Amino acid sequence: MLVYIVKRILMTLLVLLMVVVFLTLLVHIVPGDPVTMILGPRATPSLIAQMRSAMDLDKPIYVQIGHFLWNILHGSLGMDAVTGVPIATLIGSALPHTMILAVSSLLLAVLIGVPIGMYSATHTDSLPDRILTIGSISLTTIPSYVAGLFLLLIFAVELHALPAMGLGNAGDTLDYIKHLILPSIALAITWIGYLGRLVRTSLLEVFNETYVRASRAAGISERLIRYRYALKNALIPTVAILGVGLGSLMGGAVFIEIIFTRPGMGLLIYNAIQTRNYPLVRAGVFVVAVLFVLANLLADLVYTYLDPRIQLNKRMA
Amino acid sequence: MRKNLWFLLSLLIVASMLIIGCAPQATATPAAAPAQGGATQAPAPTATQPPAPIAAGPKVLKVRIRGDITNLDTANVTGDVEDSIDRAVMEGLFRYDATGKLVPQLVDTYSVSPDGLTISFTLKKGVMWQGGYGELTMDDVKFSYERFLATNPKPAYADDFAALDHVEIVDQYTGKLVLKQPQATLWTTVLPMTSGLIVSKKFYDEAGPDKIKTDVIGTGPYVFASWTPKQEVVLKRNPDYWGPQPYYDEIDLIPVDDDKAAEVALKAGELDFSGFSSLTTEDDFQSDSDFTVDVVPADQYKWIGMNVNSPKLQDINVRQAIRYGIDVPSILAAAYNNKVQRANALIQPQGAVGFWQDAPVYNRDVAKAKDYLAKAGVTSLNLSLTYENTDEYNTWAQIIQQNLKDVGINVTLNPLDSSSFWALGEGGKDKTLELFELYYSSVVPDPAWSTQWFTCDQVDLWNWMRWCSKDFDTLHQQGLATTDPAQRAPIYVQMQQLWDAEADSVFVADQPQVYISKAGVKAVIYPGGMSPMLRDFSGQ
Repeated sequence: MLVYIVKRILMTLLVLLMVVVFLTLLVHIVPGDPVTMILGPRATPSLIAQMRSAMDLDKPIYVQIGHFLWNILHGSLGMDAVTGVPIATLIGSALPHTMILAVSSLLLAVLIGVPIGMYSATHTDSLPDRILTIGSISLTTIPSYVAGLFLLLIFAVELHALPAMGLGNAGDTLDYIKHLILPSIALAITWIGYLGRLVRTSLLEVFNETYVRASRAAGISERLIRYRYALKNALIPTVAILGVGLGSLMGGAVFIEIIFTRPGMGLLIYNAIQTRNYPLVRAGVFVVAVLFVLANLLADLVYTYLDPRIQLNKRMA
Repeated sequence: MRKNLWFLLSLLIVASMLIIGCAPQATATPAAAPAQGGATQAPAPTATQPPAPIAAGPKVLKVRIRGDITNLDTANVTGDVEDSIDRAVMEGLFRYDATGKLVPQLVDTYSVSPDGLTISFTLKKGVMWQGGYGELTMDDVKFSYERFLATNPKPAYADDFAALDHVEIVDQYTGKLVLKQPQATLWTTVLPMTSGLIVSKKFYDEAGPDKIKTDVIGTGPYVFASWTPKQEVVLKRNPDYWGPQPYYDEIDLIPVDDDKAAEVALKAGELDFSGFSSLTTEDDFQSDSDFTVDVVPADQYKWIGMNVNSPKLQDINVRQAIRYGIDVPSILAAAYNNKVQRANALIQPQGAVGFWQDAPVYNRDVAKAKDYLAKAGVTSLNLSLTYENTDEYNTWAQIIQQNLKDVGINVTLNPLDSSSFWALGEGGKDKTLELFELYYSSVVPDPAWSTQWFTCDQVDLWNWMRWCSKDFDTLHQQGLATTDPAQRAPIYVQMQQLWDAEADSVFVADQPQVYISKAGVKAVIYPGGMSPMLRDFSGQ
C-alpha cells in the first residue's frame, strides 16, 4: 500500500508539473494580451512595463515556471498583479464553495440514484422499472446548464421559492443552504440518471453470481440477500466512479457557477481566462488539478478498503 | 460496507463545511469601515444644505456590477464599476448633480482667471476624511492632482491633467490650479469625474500602491465597507458625512458578468438595479409593472472601419465602393430591431458639442459601388472582416458579407473572442486588419474623448483605420484648448469632415444604454449614459 501511495504521489507531481508547463506555454499560444485587457486603452507604456514585470510576462518561460514552482514550494501561489491581493486569498475564498457544490451534488446523486437503481434491479421489467429506466436515461442526457436554466426559471423567477444567484448572507448557514439547493440539483441531475443505470446493471450482474444463487438455495431471506450481500458488491464499481465523478463535477461546476453567479473556482478561472490573467488561471487550474488527482487517489484507496481482494500494487503492475 | 460508504460521504460533507469555516476570510477590511467606534470625528456641517431627514428602517439597494473591481485608484481606474464606486465614496472639487449640471462640490468659492489659466478656489471647511484620516486640506488636493504628472510609471489617466502645471497652496483651505494652457476637458471629463476626485494623501502614503487598488476612503456620503472578491462590494452610509445624507443605508454591488443571469436575478428579486448593453432586455421588462426601464442616450459609437494602409484598401475608390455597398438600415433592423438611431458621423448623440447635423448619409447603391470598383481597376476582391464574436456583431457581419458579395467583394469572416479582439490595440497588431467592426464609448459627452483615438499617435494603438492626418491632429489640439462650446463645435465638425473625406469608415449606430430598476427605485445616470450615479439613487 505504501509503495503504491508513494508511486501515486510521484505520478501526481509529474502530472502537476505538466499542468504548470502547459499553462505557462498557453500565454504564448492563445491570442490576447493580458496587460491590454487589464489596464485598458489608456495604459501608458511605463504602466504596461510595470504590469508585465509583475505578471512575470517579461521573463522567459522557464523562469516563469521556476518562479511558480518556487512559490509553491514556499507555500505561496503568488500575488495577483491585477488587484494586488494574494492569489491564495482569492482561491481560498472561492474553492470551498465549489467543493461544497460538488460534494453536495454527489451526495444528492447517491441519495437518489442508488435507490432508483436498486428499485429497478429488484423490479426488472415491471412498469415502474421501465419508467425509471426511461427517466434515468433522460436525466443522463440533460446537460447541467440546461437543467440549471430551467430550475432557475421555475423555482426562482416564477415561484420565487428559492434564490437565483450568489451564496446568501455571510454567516447564515440556512441561507447558504437555500442558495445551494438549485445549483446542487442542476449539477446532480446527470449523475442521478447515471448512478441509477450503473447500480441497476451492477446489481443485476451480482444477482446472477453463484453466491447469491447459493444463498437463495440456503433459504436466506431475499431482503437479506439483496441489501446485505448483493448491494455491497454491486456498489464497488459505483465507488470507483464516484472518485472520478467528484473531479468531473468540479469541472461541471463551472457552468453552474456562471448560471447561478456563484463565486466559486469555475467563475474565478473563467473570469481570469477572459481577462487573460494567466498567473491566476495557472494557480487556479493547478489547485483544481491537485484536487482532481487527490480525489482519484482517494477513490482508489476506498476501493481497496471496500474490497480487500483488490490489491493496488498488482493493479499498478 | 454500506455503513462505511455513508460514513465516508458524511466525512466529505463535514470536511467541506469545515473548509468553509476555516477558509481564509477574503473580505477586505477597508480603512474606513463605518460604525466601528467612531474613529472619524463628526465635523460641524458647513455645507450650504442642511442634512435631509432620513426615513426609518434600513434601506438596502442591490446593484449589479459587470465584473469585480480591479483598480479603484483614480489615476489608473479600469472601468465604470470602479468609477461608480469611487464617485460614491470620494468627492471632487466639482461634480455633476442628479440633473447633469456641473456644480461645486468640495469648493466653497472659486474663480477662473480671464486667460483661463488659473482656477482659484477655497475648500469647504470641516470636511473630514473617513476612517479617521483628519480633515480635507489643500495638501490633499495638491497630492491628488500632481500625482497625474508622475513619469515613472506614468498614470493611465495622465492626459487628463496634461495642461496642469502645478497646484499652488495658498493656505490650508485656499489654493490654485495653475495651467500651462487652457484645457476644455478639465471642466467636462476631468474635474467633475473620476480623475478629479480628491484622495487622502495620508491614506495613500500609508496604504501603498497595492492596497489603493482595492480599498478607498473619501469624504463622500458612502463608505467602502467591505469587498469580498467575486462576491460583493458593500458601501454603507457615512454617518459623519458633511452634506445631505443619501437615501440608501447600504448599497450592495454584486458582480454578475452575464446579462441573462442579471435579468433572471432582477426577476427573482435579488437585484434592484442593473445596466444592460443589449436592447433585447428592454423588451422583456417593458411590459412588467414591477420594473422601470430607462433607455438612456449614451456616447457609444459603432462603425465599420477600413485599414487604409492595407494594400487592398489603399485606393479610396475601393473604400467608396464598400461604403456604398453596405446597407446600414438592414444592420439596424437585424441587429437592433430598429431601436437604435443610425449614426452618420463620429460625435454622438444629437445635441452634443460637435454633433455634425448635416453629415452625409450614404445609402446603399450597388451600381455606384460597382462603378467605384471599376474606377479602382478591381475586378475581384477578397477581404477579411474582423469583429468581436457576439450575436450583435455576428449579425452585422452576415449582412456585410452578403451586401458586399452583391458588389463583387468576397468577405471572409474572422470573429474573435473579446480578449483576442481588443489585444489588436497594442503594438501594431492591427496592421493586418482589413475590414473590422468596432465600438468605443466616452465617459461623458465631450467630443475630445471621441476624437482622441484617431490622431496620428494612436496609429499602432487604437486608430485601427491607421489614417493619419496632421490637420486632424492640429484641430484636435485646438479643440482641447478651446473652452467655449460654441467655438469648439465647428472645430469638431471640421474634423469629422476630414474623416468623412477619407471614406475609411461606415458609421452604423449610436447605442443607448438600458437600465432597469425595480419599481420604487429611482436611478440616476451620469451624463454620457455609461455609469450610474449611486450616491443620488433614491426611492420614488
